[in-house]
Amino acid sequence: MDLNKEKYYSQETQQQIDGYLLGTLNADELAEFQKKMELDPMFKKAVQEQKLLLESVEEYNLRQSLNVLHSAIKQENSKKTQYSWIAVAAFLAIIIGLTSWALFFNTNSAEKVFAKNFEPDPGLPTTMGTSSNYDFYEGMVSYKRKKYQKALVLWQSLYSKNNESDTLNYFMGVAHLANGEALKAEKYLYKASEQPKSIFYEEAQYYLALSQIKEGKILEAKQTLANSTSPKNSELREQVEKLD
Amino acid sequence: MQKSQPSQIIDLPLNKTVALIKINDSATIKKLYKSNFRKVKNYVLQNNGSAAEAKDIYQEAFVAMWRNIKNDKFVANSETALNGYVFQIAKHKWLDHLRSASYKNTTFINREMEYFETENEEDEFKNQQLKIILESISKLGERCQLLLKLFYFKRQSFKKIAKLTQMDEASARNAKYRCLEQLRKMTQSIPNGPK
Repeated sequence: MDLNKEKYYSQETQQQIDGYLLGTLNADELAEFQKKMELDPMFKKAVQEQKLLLESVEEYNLRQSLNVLHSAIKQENSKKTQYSWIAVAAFLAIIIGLTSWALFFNTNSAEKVFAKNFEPDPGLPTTMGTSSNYDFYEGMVSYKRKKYQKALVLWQSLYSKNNESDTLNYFMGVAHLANGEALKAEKYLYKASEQPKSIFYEEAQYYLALSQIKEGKILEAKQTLANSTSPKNSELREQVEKLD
Repeated sequence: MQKSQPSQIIDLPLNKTVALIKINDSATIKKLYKSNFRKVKNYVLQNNGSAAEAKDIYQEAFVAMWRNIKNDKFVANSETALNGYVFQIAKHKWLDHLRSASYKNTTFINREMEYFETENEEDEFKNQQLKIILESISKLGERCQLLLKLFYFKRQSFKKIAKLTQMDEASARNAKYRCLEQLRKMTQSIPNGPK
């Protein structure tokens, strides 16, 4: 009985059953195999048993390969997330770059407009005359020598006595602007530009606009020049319009 | 004349896919596995599940699909049908899980071995056996596991197996025979195992 049973589990039988289960038997072999199963229930049982073992081996390995596949998907996804973070970072860097470049370019072109147009007023003729105007003309001499700081100090004492003077406001403004102090310049020039009857009226608007341009206040510069009619002011207005 | 047998041409890729699944072709399995996971994951996540549970349910569904294709229980008539089939199995398995009494008390990880669908007594017995055999395989030695994997799962020839395992062909055949016999005997020693 036991010996008889052994033949169902011999290497030869196992190979034969493998052939049947894996579909490698030819037509003749298959027909013979099926006939044998029909005739021998023990053999049929051995086939079913081996079939289950084979299916189990396959399923065991399928499950293992699915786990490997799954961790591969996870890795791919985390790589994708990594890449998308890099992409986002790169995108932000580009945006920041462009923005700062644009800002830089904008200030730069405002600066350019200023540099292109700013030329300090040549000043008034300095004929030494009455003592009352002495301080003013001494300041004007310094101004013409481009010693703006000294001129401003001299004019300051006059200014404290008469801060409405269009002449003082105008030249002190231009001096500050020439000295690179646009904000201070704006204050004086604004005052000067508010006096339509002044001979410095148009010029005050021109320099006021320039000090605003220098500070990057493009909108205010536009407003300052909005009603100007002088060719010089109109030309500056056109340049300002192009700024943004 | 030109119109002859258009259905064959359309059927060909799917028949090929089914045939490739039957021989455990790794590229086909990989493609099928990857292309359906996201949908199942989204479904489970939207229905009170975690990513780990999505993975478990998806793998159970995938194995079930694979098993049914092997046994010709599922006759797919299109590639889309095959993909839809995996999703449907996963969906039903997840709904079963949510309905199950143990859902509230037991974590899904501990229910790992409960994936065998029980349709009738015969199937239930077969599933019991399968469970025992799977456990036994994991207890086999590394060499036996490799030989059985190469021959039954990877469907490699003994010529190739001999090369891979650095044996001659006859030794490889003999080693594989003894490994399967070892497995058979292991499963027999367990009560209610195959006799």
